[in-house]
Amino acid sequence: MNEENFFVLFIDIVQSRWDDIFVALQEHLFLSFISIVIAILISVPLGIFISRRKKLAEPFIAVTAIFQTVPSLALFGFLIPFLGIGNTTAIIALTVYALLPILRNTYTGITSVDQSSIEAGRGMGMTDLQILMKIEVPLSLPVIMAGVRTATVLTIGVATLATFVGAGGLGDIIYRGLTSNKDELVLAGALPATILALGFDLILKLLENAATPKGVKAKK
Amino acid sequence: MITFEHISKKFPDGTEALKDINLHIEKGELLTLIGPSGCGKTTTMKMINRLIEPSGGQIHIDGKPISEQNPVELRRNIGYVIQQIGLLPHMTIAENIALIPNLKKWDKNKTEKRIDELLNLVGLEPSTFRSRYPLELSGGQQQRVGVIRALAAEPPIILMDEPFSALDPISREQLQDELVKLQKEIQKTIVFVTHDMDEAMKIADRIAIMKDGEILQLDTPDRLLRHPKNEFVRNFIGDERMAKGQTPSAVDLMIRKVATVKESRGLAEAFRFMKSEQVDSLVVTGPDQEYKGVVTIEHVQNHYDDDNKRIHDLIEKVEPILPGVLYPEIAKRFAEKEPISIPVVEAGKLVGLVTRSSMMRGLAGLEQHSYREEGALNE
Repeated sequence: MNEENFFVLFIDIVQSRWDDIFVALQEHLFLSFISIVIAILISVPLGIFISRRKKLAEPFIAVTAIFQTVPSLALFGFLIPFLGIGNTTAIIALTVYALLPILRNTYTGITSVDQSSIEAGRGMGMTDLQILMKIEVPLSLPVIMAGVRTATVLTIGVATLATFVGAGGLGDIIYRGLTSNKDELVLAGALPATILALGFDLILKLLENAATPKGVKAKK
Repeated sequence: MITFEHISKKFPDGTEALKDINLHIEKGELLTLIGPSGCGKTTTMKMINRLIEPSGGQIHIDGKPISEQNPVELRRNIGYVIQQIGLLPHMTIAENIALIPNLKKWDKNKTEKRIDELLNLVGLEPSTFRSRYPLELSGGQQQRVGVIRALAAEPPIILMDEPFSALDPISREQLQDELVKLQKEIQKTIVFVTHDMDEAMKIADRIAIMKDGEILQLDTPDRLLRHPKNEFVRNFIGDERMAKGQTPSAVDLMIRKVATVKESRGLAEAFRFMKSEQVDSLVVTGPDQEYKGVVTIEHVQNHYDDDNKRIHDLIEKVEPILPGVLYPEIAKRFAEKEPISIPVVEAGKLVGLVTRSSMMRGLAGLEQHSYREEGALNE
């Protein structure tokens, strides 16, 4: 199989399977997006909580780190006996993966906010909630956003494994290509996943910049 | 205005930060708390806005115990300035100044007017500085904003925790001057923590010197200089500064290297010595610099022909003074008794000599000429 042939085959397969690829892309986006949103909803408040109780911080971060070290395929397989197959299982597994980067960055971001700003705020009569919302969150937002970005790129990659729990996604296309020994079909699944990851990385990078307060950028 | 009654503080680790502090701060006065690190000065200050709670005792503001007030409400009526400045970097200067007015839900127009007024007060042009961010300002400018932010909602009390000590010396001097000027206008009750005695002397109405959780002495700068209560206070204020105090004492007005002569010397020798050194009197001392008296050149000349006379026979008992005697008393002595000079003696030993010219030099703040070679006639 020479280069030209492979390229022609790839174009052919993209054209003939376009509908399948498009559906898989939508599923992939859906799984990744829902997982990331859930991970943010868990990790950001948890990160803020452990930044208040530093003794709890290490154990919590350690647990999420252990989740992350479990081989992804094994995690999916491990969840099947409990949750069966389907979207729920995939989303839970992906969420577990996305927890660590967001949790760690939220914790780091909040705890590295300049203590003098917080002391000034408290001394001026801000409530704890006002200190959180007006000082700590705005100042740590760039770091939190960086965590979300890492988690998103990671999740889009790992979501290709959702096919093994019957949740679809671009992994379907790749898996079909592997079993039928069609490299062009593998590429037709892998390429959109890569583009998706890179695209999100770029968008979130821009968001991260936008989240950096103007006055903090000024010093750089 | 603010009253501390038997305030004590024990930290959970057992350290006793404050022991029975009793303190009354008058309305409109600038009181500085000063002492070595760990003396409890910052702890004392932070109790006023309840950032630290006492373990025992009661603090009243305007007669009301603060322990019964909501800490958040209390703090909104007490300005707070800290060493690290603590401007919020993500907010503009105007937003930083507006923080407390906004927390207190002031009318927008009133707040905007107040921001301009305050910026003008510290010489920062509102049109330039309103929309800047803290990190675009120099340290001195930032702390000016820190001070006016504390003034924004017109609190009757302001707490300042070493506000100028992180600044460069020039900015520090400027801000101290501005604070003194500002305080004349605004007449707030200010509690100012510092470890810098020069700063305290410059700005304070009263100074509380603290050590090991106790107030050793609470007095005006002038009274502290004149009447330090004990050795620690004296050392803390510093000998040099004592001398710099408003009223000079004998130490500032005397020469230290004095032309002396021993009792057993002959008159001819003494006369030649006085001529060569161009002095008109010598201080007579014993073997260990004990003060014996003074001989004058006239006296020596009068008895010059008497071979049997020695210095011992011509001693005049000029009453010496202690080093701490203040200028008015010395001047009075010169006026009344017209001595040529007055020896300064401590524990029986000669330490210096006040002459009319050394007194003038001392009052003018000039360095004293040292007598060029001490005791050419000493044994």
